[in-house]
Amino acid sequence: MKLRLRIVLLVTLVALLAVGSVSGLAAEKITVIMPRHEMDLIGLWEQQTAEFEQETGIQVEFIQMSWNEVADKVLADLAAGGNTYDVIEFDNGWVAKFAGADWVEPLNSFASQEYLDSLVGGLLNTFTQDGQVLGIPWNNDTRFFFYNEAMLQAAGLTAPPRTWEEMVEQARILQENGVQFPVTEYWNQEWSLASSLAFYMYSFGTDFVDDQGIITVDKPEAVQALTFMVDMLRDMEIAHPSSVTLSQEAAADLFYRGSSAFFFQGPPVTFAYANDPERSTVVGQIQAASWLPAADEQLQATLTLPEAFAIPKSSKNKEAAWKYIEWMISPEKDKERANALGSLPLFNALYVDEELLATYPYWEQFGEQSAVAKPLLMVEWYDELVQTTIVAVQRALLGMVTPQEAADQIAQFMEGLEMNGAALVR
Amino acid sequence: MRGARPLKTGRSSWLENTSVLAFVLLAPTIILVFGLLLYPILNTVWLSFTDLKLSVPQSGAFIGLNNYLKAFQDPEFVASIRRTIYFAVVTVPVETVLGLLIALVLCQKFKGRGFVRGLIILPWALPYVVNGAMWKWIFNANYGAFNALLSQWGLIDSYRIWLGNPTTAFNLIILANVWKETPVAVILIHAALQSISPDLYEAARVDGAGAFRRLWYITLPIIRPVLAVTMVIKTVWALKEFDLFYIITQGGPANATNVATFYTYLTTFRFLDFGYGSALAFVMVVIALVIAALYVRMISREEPY
Amino acid sequence: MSKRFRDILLRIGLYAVVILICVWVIAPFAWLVISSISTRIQLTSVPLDWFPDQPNFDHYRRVFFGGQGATSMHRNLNGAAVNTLIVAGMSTLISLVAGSMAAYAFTRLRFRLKGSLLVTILITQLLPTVSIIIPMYRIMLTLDLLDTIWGLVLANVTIILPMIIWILRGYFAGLPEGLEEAARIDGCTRIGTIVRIMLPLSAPGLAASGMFAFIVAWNEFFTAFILSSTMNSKTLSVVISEFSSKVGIDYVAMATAGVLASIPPVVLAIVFQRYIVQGLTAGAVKG
Repeated sequence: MKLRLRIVLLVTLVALLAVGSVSGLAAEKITVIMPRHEMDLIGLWEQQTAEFEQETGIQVEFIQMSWNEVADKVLADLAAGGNTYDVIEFDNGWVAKFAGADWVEPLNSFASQEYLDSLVGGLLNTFTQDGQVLGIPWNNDTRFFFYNEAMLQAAGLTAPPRTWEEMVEQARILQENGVQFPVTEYWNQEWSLASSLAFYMYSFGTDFVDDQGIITVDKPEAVQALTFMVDMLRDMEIAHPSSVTLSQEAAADLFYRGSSAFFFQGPPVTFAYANDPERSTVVGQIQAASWLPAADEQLQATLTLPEAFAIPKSSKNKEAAWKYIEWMISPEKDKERANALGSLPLFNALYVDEELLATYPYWEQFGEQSAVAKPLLMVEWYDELVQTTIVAVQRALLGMVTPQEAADQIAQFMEGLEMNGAALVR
Repeated sequence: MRGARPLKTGRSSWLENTSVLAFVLLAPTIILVFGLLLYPILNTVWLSFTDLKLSVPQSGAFIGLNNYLKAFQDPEFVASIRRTIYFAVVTVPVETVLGLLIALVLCQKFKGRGFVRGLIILPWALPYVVNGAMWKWIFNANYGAFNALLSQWGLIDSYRIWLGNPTTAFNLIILANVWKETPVAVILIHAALQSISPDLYEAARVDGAGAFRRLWYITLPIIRPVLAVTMVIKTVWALKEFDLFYIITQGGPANATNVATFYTYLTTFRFLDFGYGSALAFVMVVIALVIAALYVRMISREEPY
Repeated sequence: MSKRFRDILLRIGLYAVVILICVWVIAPFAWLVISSISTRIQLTSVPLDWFPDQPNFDHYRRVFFGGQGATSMHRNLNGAAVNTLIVAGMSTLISLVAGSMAAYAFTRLRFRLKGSLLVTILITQLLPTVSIIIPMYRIMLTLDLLDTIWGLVLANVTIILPMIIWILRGYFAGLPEGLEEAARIDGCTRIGTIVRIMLPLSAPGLAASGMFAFIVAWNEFFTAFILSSTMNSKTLSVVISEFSSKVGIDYVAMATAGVLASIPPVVLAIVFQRYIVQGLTAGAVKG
C-alpha cells in the first residue's frame, strides 16, 4: 500500500516535471531586466513597453526591481552561462568587468551612426570600449547641486557658494540662523560613498590615479579632499553627524524636511521630490545651481553615473532585443518620459526642445553643469576598489584613522593593479 | 517468533531487514538532498583550487591551495571570521535561554495561552527583507522609532546615531536577530516540554521537590537532546546569517559588521572572484563543522532518561 | 505569607510576564503596521507622532483594488501569494514525509555509514547559499526548471529536509523504545510501528517542525530571488523586495506588503498550535 502510493507520487512528480518543461510555441519573446527608474512612480516604462508589444507583436517579459537586485540576477545568469535575458541593465561601473568577461554584444552593427550621434556624447562614451559600443544609455543620472533658496535668503545670502571656502562661510552664517547642519551627505558604507569621494577629489582637481598611471589618491591634493570631508563632519560640524549612516535616499530626506541647505550631488529626481507635498516640507524652496562648488572655480566637476541597455552575447533573440532598445530609446519616447517624469533627456535635440524647456526651465542649468560631468574610474577591478575605499573613508570619518592613513590604505590596494595595460605605481 | 496475527502488508518481510529498511527510508532524502546539492558542492570545491575570476578572461587555472593560503593571510577575511564567531557566540545562547524561558511560561495555564502560542511566531513569520528594512528604519538616526521611544521616555536627551557606531551597530543587529529567531527556539523547546509526561512532575511534587528542583532535575535532562539540536541549528543559521547584515548595514560602519558570509558574497557576486570566494566558503564550512561536531558529541553522550 | 496570597502573587507575576512577552513580540510589528498606514512625511517627523491623525490606506487600496498609482508590484502580490503557498506547502509536505522516514532510520536502526551519512547531511547545510547558487542555477537551467514552482520546491527541500531530520531525530530519540518493542511482539511490522506508534507519539514534533519548515519556505529569499524571474514562480519575498529603486526603499509600500505577507503564517501558527497538545504520551508511558 505504502509502496504503491510512493510509486504514484513519483510518477506524478515526473509527469509534472515533463509538463513543466514543454515550452509553448510562442510569438517572438524577449526578456528585459532593468532597475526601476527612481523617478518612475507611475509605471511609465511598463506602459511604454506595453505599447511596444502592441506595435511590434513582440512579447516582452518586463522585469523591474531594485538596482542591487538587478545586479545580482544579471550576474548570476551570466556567470552560470544562462540565456534568460535579452536586454539587460548595464551600469557604468560594469563596463570594464563585462567587457573583460566578454559577456555583451557590440552594438555597432545594429545602430546607425546617425542614431549614435543623436545621443548625448558623454553618455555614449561611457559605454564604449575600444571603439565598440556596448550599451545604449537609458538613464542620464548626472548629479547636480541643489540648495534651499529660501534658507539662504532668510540668512541674507543671495547666491549659493562657488568655492569650498565660500561654502564654509555660508555654512557658518546659516548655522547662526538656525540651520544646525547645513550640509547633508550620503556617507554610508555602500557604493555611493566611493562616488562621493570621487566628487570631492575632482573638486580639488585630482583623482584616484592620473593619466600616467601614477596613483594620486595618497598625494596631498586628494588627502586634502578627504580631510575636507572629515573636517566638515568632525571639526567644523557643518555636515550632519548621521551622514555616516545615510544612503542617498535617507540623506535626501533631511534635505526635503528642511534640515539642511546644501545637497552637492543630488540625483535629478531631487527637484521633483522636493516639490512633492507627500514627502517634502520645503515645497517651492529648492533650486538647482548652474555650477558646482570646488576648491577653485576652474576645478568644478559633477558626477555622471549613467545606466544603459546591453544585449548579452548568450541571448537568442538579439534582433528583437535591438528593436526594443531602439524603440524605447528614441527621441519620441524619451520626450514622453521627460515630460511625464522629469527624467533627464538622452538626446541632444531634446535639450533645446521648447516644450520641454517650458516645463523644466531649470534644465538650462543642468545643461551647464553637464558640461563638467565626469564619470567614475573605469577599470575591471572597480568593485574591489570601491570596497577598499568605502571602508577606509568610513574609518577616517569615524576618526579611527587619519585621512592620510586612509588614503594610504587605498593607495596600497591600488598598487600593482593594472590599468590600460600597465601596472599602477605610487 | 512472530505471532499468528496476519501482517497487514503481506509481502513486506524483506522490509524487516534492517539494512534494506534503512536504505528504503533514506532513499528519498538521499535523492532529494544529494541529487541537487552534489554538483554545486563539487563545483565549489573544484573552483576553490582555481583562480577563476569571471571578469578576467582566460582565468580558471589550477592553483592548488593558493586560495586557502591567501585566505588565512587576508586580514579582512580573518577579521570577518572573528565577527561571525562573536555573532554566533552571543546570539545562540541568548536565543536558546530566552526561548527556554518563554517556552516554560507557555507551559503554564493561563487565559489566552493558545493565542499567545500562535502569536509567538510573529517575528519569524515576517519576510526577511521586510524584517531587515523594518529594523533599519527603527534604528534610523534621524527619524527612527528607537530614538523616538528612548527620547520620549527621557532615557536619552538627543537622538543617537546607533548604526554609525561600530559597537552599537553590531549589537543592535544582534538584537534584531534575537527578536527574529527566538520564536524558533520557543517552538522546538515547547514541543519537547509538552512531550514530558505530567506524571513525572506529579511524582516529584509528591516527593516534596519544589519548582526549581523539578526544572533542574527533570525537565532539563529530558529536553537536553532538543536543546542541543536547537543550538546546533541556531549556530548553523547564525554562521550563515546574511540578510540582516546585507540590508541594515551592508557590512559597515567601517566594516564593523562585515561578517564572513557578507565578505564571501562580495567576493563572489561583486568581485566575480569565484576561485577565492569558493575557498572562503569552504573555510567557513570547516569552521562550522568543527563547532557543530562539538555539539554532536554533546548529543551522542546524552541518553534520554 | 499565606499560601493563597502567594498563589495570587504568582498568578499576577505570570500574567505580567506574559504581557511582557506579547509586547516584546508585537511592538516592532505594530510599528510596521502603523508605518504602512502613514505617509513618508509622517514617518520623518520629530518628535514622532506614534499614530497618524489620518491613516493613509493608499497602499492597501493599491494592492487590493488597483487604481491610481498601482504598479505591477501591487498587482503581483496576489499571484505571488499563491505561488508562495504552493511552494511552501509542497516543500513542507515532501520534507516531512522524507524527513520522518530518514529520522526514524537514524534513530532506531543500525546500519553502516550511519554516522557519516548524518554528518554529510549536516555539511550540506553549512555551505553559504551565495557559493552554491550559481551551480544550482546551472542545474535548473539544464533541467529546464528555472522560473518554475517545482524548481523552487526542490531548492527549498534541500534547505529544509536536513533540518527536519535533525529535529525529528531529537524527538524520536526521546520516545521510549519499549512501545515499539511491545507492538512488534504483538505482530506489528516495522513500518507498522512507524505509522501507528511513532508518528502519533511524535505529533508535537511533527507539528512543530512542519510549522517551522513551512515558514522557512514561505520567507526564503535569496534562492527564490535568483531562480525566479517572472510571475510564474516569484514568491512573496521576491515581490516584496522589489519595492525599491536605485536610490532606496519605498518603506511605506514595503511595510504594507510585509504586513500582508506575514498574516498567513501567523494565522496558520495560531490555528496549528492546538495540535501541539500535552498529554499525547501520558497513556503510553503508564502502559
